[in-house]
Amino acid sequence: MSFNYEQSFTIQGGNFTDAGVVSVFIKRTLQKMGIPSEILRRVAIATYESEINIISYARIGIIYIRVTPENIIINIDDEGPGIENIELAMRAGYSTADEKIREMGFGAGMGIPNIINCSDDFKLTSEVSKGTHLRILININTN
Amino acid sequence: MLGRNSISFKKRMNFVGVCLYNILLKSSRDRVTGIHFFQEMIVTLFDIIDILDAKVLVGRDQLNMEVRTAFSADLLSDVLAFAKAGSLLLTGLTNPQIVRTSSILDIAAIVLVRGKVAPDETLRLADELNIPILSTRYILFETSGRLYEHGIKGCVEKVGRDDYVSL
Ligand SMILES: Nc1ncnc2c1ncn2[C@@H]1O[C@H](COP(=O)(O)OP(=O)(O)OP(=O)(O)O)[C@@H](O)[C@H]1O
Ligand SMILES: [Mg+2]
Repeated sequence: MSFNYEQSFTIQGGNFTDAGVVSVFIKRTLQKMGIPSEILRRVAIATYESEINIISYARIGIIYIRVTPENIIINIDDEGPGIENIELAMRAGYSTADEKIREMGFGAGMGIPNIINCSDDFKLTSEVSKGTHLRILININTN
Repeated sequence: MLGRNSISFKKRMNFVGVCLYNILLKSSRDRVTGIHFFQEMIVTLFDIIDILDAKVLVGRDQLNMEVRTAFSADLLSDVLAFAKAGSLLLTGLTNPQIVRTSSILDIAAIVLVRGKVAPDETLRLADELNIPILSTRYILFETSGRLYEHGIKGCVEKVGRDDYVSL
């Protein structure tokens, strides 16, 4: 089976009401394409955690997804405060989430470690008071 | 209607199961085989409603669904990190994020604990995304324990490897 698809989505920071809408849409779209369920699950978790992070911490962000026959590439770019200590942000349990985020049930500092777990390749770069960039690669292994 | 038929059918099946269990126990010196057979019994949402004295908020048409594992948490961050597809989610949270998170993870159904009822927007979304929601007055500990007694297991036992730590 060969997959070819790409799409971009804009995520508005602070829009907690719609948190997850884009990721649920992406999951459905890839499911209809026949992406294997284990791969689908990893893509869905990675996009969802990223979407929640944009809404929680950034002003605005873009999720770009590209599906090829070999792999799935997800690029996430946001304008926002950026991350000062990336090493710390990647540790399980580290969080600067405020009350509003915690009320929703998030802010345990598990998001980025979870994205890393779901990725075959992962790159996080950030510039303080500019924004954050994530590149996630997930291989499609159809055998 | 369908519900009641289903339950009595299940009760009959359970009866057959218990008889078979007794036969197995008597016919074999190996008690473990019998006990193992007993533990493999199927648990559906219908049974869970009985076990937890629960109300159905969404998904009346899906109560025949079987479940084997569950995850309990009041933090969606942890649900996302550790819950497995096909599991029940036991939680005291009621916002629409419980439904979107469940949809992302292929959670089979949600059980709200401590008598919580979800707001309309959560119920609407659950209906749209086909995720049943039950509500029980038992606390999270009792809910988990009662289900465990009926053969539902945690979807993971421990997290991480030997050296795992979380800040
Ligand atoms: N896009 C972002 N912009 C700015 N800071 C971010 C961004 N994403 C993450 N961070 C910072 O990194 C920390 C860790 O993020 P991570 O997603 O791992 O956990 P969390 O969002 O705090 O909690 P969880 O994801 O478990 O609900 C955040 O608390 C925040 O300080
Ligand atoms: Mg996060």
